[in-house]
Order: sequence, then C-alpha cells, then structure tokens
Amino acid sequence: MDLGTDGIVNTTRFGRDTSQARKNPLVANKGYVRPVPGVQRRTRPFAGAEPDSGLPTQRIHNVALIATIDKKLSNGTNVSSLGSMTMTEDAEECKITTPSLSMAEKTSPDWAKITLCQIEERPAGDSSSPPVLPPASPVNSRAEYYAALRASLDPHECVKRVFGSATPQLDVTGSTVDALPPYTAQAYRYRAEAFTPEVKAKCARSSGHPGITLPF
Amino acid sequence: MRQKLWSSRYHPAILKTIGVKKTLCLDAVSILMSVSIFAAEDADAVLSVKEGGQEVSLFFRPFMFEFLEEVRNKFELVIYSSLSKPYLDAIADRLEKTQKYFEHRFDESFCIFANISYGVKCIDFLLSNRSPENIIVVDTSARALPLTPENLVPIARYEGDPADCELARLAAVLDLLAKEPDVRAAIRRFRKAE
Repeated sequence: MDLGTDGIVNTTRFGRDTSQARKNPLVANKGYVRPVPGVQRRTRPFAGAEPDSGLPTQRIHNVALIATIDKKLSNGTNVSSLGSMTMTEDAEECKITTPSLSMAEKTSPDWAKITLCQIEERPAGDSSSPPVLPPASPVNSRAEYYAALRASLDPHECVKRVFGSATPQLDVTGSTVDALPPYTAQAYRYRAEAFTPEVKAKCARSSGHPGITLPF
Repeated sequence: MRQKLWSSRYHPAILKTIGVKKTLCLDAVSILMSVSIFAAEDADAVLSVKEGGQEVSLFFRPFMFEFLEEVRNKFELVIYSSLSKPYLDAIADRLEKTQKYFEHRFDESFCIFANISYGVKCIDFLLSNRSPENIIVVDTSARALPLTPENLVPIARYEGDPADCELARLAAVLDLLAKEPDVRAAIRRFRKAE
C-alpha cells in the first residue's frame, strides 16, 4: 500500500537484524545499532524485535534523508512497523510501501508510529554492492558465517536480484493457451490427463497412507 | 501457544498469516547442488544408484545445509524434481543423512511429460488440501512451472561457483513471502519491481 512519496518500507528485517547486530560483531561494526539524535524512539517493542532491544532495524542510504521521513510521519501518517525502511537514492522519487499490511493494521492504536533508531550508513548509490563476506571460516563456524551473510543482505536488493535472475525464456503472465509456446500449450492440454487416478494413487502411496486420496 | 507466541514475538495480525505453514517445493539439481556424471575428487558426495547403475558426483551449493536448516522451520519443505525415484531418493537420503528436512518427495511421476523433453512441474496434485496462495516452487527457469507461473520463485542455476550466495538471497525473499497472505500476489509484485 502506498502511503506517501518519501521512502520504502519493506516487511522483513525487524527483529532479525537487531538480534544479529548485538550478537555478531560483523554486523554491529557496519553500524546497524546507532541511535539517531533527535529521533523519537518507539514506546513498545516491534513485532519480532526482542523486548529489551528497543530498537527497530532500518537501513538508510543517506543520513540527510532522515528528516524527510520523520517530518512526513509526524504529519500524521502511521506506518506499522513490521519492516525496515530503505531509502532510494533520490528522495524525491521514493515511496513508502508496506504491502503485507492493511490500512486498518497500520492505523491500529496497537501499533507504534514508525521511528528511526538504527541506520546503516553508507554512500548513496551503494545499495547494489555485494555483501561483504567474512574471510574463509572453519567448518564449525559456517552457521555464523551464513547468519552474518543473511543479516548483511537487504531483502529489497535480494528480490531484485532473485527475480532478475529468472531465465527470460518464457513470459506466461496473462497468456492464453493459444498464445503460449508449443510445449507450454501442450502441457495445458495434457493437464487434465496428467493426474489420472493411477498418478493420484502413486501420490497416496508416496505419502505412506495407501487407500487415502491425496492425504499429504 | 498463540498467546505465548504473541507475548514473545508476534503480533496477532502476523499470526493470522503464519498460522498455516506455506509449502516450499525445492528441486535438487541446479538449485541445491550441481550434479555430474563424471567422477571428481572434490565432489561433496558420490552416489551410486542401483537402478540406474550410474555413479554421480554431487557438488553442494554453498550454504545449502544452512539454508535448509533456516527454511525447514518456516515452511513445509518438499523436494520436487523431475528425477526418477531412485535418483531422487538417493539424493534426498544423502541430504537427510543427519537431519530430516523434507516432508515429502515428489519425483518424475508428479511431473508432466507432454511430448516434451523435460518434466514440467504442476502443483495441481497438492491442491486437495493446500491453497495455491500457500505454495511456492523454486526453480531455475520459468519453463519449469508454466501452468502456474505466479507460484514460481526463480533462482540462478548453480554451476559450481564457490562464492555463490544465491541461497542466502533466496532465504531473504522467502522470508518476505512467508509473511504474505497470498504468495502469488507478492510474486507478481516482485516481478514488476524487478
């Protein structure tokens, strides 16, 4: 849902980063835990954040953009704090979006107004830089290595990367059967025959519950 | 349990969307690992499948086990591949040597081979007691799931790069999808934002 033109809110990083930042020096050293002077702190823990942390996680590229967001929100816009805030490089073109939430949830008195307490400070234009990987680690620390890598990733960038990696071999969005490439159209035509009772019986067997139709 | 979760971590609004685990269908080859029919000293595992009589070398994608460990608690994890059952079982058994990850295994018999040279995946057989908005299929090509492309999350093919971080990126995207009431709407939105 579009709430304005000042920033982007994504809906994943709360909680994970705050805990990671405190546990993992690799993350903490990148500046995740740094209060912003003059910025209102929230009065209750955000969903997913540890109650005593008192800090949401937000990633902002340019400190100069903070005031813009804060002003916008203090003008009456309540943004439910399910996610982190990411600024794009051009403040004029940014948008605040929290697509997983309804307006009722965003404006519920149960939710605190969004505040800016943590910053990953980095130069504008650096948003696409690859995560800084720690040096080679022994096998017994692979989980920590992975946790640090995960914490260093921006979900928005990951969405761009993952969906940008799709092999552009087929665009089936909105296509009709006739408009599809031949192999896909064939698949559609065979669809009704594909899952015959015999195949369904196989499904039942593979789940370990013979005699029950598709119990998994 | 519900109250405990809320008091410790989650708001009820979130619980509404995470009450039912979403189903995550992963393929093995090219996603979790690369497979070679040639013997290699640096392979992570070598499998010999009785039925096929062919030894295959497996090269695990970096962070594969960490990824599986992370997503297995968030999703109903399913391995769904167009491999034959003996090969799929051999690979899945190797992956689950010390820890069970997959709730179900679906082999080539659950794919559609409609006069085409590869198996097309189809989620129809999962729909008897699952909703399409709760099913995610991860594959390397849009051709793998042509019937319901809105359920497909793409991932770059793994070809042996030791610095590959795609599983960590995929985990970040799956985190987003786990909180969505309808993964199809989210995937459509992500495609537009690409």
